[in-house]
Amino acid sequence: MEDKILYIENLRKKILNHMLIILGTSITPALFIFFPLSLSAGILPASLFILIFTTVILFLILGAITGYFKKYKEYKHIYKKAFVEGPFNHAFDKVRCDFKKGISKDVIEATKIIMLGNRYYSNDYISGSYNNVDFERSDVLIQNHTSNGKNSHTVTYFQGRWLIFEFNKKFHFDLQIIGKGFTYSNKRNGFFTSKDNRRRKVEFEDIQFNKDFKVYAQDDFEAFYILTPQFIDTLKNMSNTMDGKFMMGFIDNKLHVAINTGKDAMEPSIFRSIKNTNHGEVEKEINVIINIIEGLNLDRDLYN
Amino acid sequence: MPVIIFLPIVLFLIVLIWYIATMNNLRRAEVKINEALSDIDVALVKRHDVLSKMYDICKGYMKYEKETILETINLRSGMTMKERTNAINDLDQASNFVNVVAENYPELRSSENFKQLQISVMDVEEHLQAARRLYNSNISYLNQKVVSFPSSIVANTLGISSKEFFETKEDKKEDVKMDF
Repeated sequence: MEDKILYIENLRKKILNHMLIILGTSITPALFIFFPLSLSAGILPASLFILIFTTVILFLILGAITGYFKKYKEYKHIYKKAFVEGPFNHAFDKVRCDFKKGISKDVIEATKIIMLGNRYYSNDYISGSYNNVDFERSDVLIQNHTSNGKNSHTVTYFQGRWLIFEFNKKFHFDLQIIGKGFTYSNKRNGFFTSKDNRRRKVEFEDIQFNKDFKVYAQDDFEAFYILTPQFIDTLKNMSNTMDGKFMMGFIDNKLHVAINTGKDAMEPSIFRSIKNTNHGEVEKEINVIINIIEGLNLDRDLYN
Repeated sequence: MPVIIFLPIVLFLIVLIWYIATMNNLRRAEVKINEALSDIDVALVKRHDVLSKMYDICKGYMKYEKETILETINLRSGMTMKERTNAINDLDQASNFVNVVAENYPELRSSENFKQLQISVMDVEEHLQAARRLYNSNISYLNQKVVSFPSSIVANTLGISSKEFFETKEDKKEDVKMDF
């Protein structure tokens, strides 16, 4: 392992040096040629814009020519193989990683529990099994970008991890649990949703739970069947320990958990030494999966 | 002048719409309560059926046949709440009896058939618990409307009064805990 760490650390240093060289090479002509030229001709803000613009363009060109971007991608892949795939393999069974792939947009769209903008990105796909419960996870970014020609505006609907678990109770209707503060969910409780697909708000006997969560269900009875008092207690505890606002959807005998962490958890930084890097993020990812499976008793082999 | 004429009409219409909406809400709550009650009955019948099957398996392991409480339980439509509560308590006893038999016969405990039925019992238990909680939740909604002003006025005119919650013995959970 020490050899591997040393190898990845050397790779990181090389990538960092490479980046600094092309950044220096890009900024020099921009600073000494384009910036003074534009400064002598016009106003300061325009000159600053030209400085940044030419630096970025030159950086992109030089990065592509010298193979920097390709090497950076390779580095990320090697890093994730070592520091993400390894721990996941250790903690779970049947682990399959595809860091370039994500959960497909169709899967998320089919749940009909979240607003889908016009931009969708997903990567860092990992699937596996814990106590015979199959799961999938992926980083997901959903945004809505609008532009009127002059101004453009981007709203991030969701950024975080999306988890899918096999659920151990059979159910026939959709159920959605929205944690307090989780925005951009799609409740499908409106007048314009067809009656068959419409979800209605369900209140439970726990007042604190009703304050912390909003539950929308197609069928009241199934909502009470799935959300047992123990399940409700666990959800209340989860809302204090989870690293982001979250929402759950019970669709097609699967449990979808969307945690809005606001970050891409698995990405390595080339500016930080491997030894100083906090690999706790990966550990956190693993613990979230284990906590959900154990906390919600998904590993209770009752119905399969 | 037109304001004096239209204001009472508008106010009357608002009150009328509110009255109809509240009346419909209360009627809907009553329908929901009856639905939840029928869910309880369905779960009770299922539980009775599964326990009967378990008892049939247990028979083979017992030296002599013993009349169980299961045979005296009479589940019928239109039971009163007291009858339902009694039926639940009797089913709990039957469940405990089956568990005691299983405790004494390890080969029975390890039989696949018995294990499957134990799983079914737990599933049916969860259905029963869900039905009971849904019923109580609907009762709670109706009772809140019946006691709070101004919906209490509509409830009084319709003759709707507060209803009792479906409560069972506090030791209810004990029979759910089964050793595999």
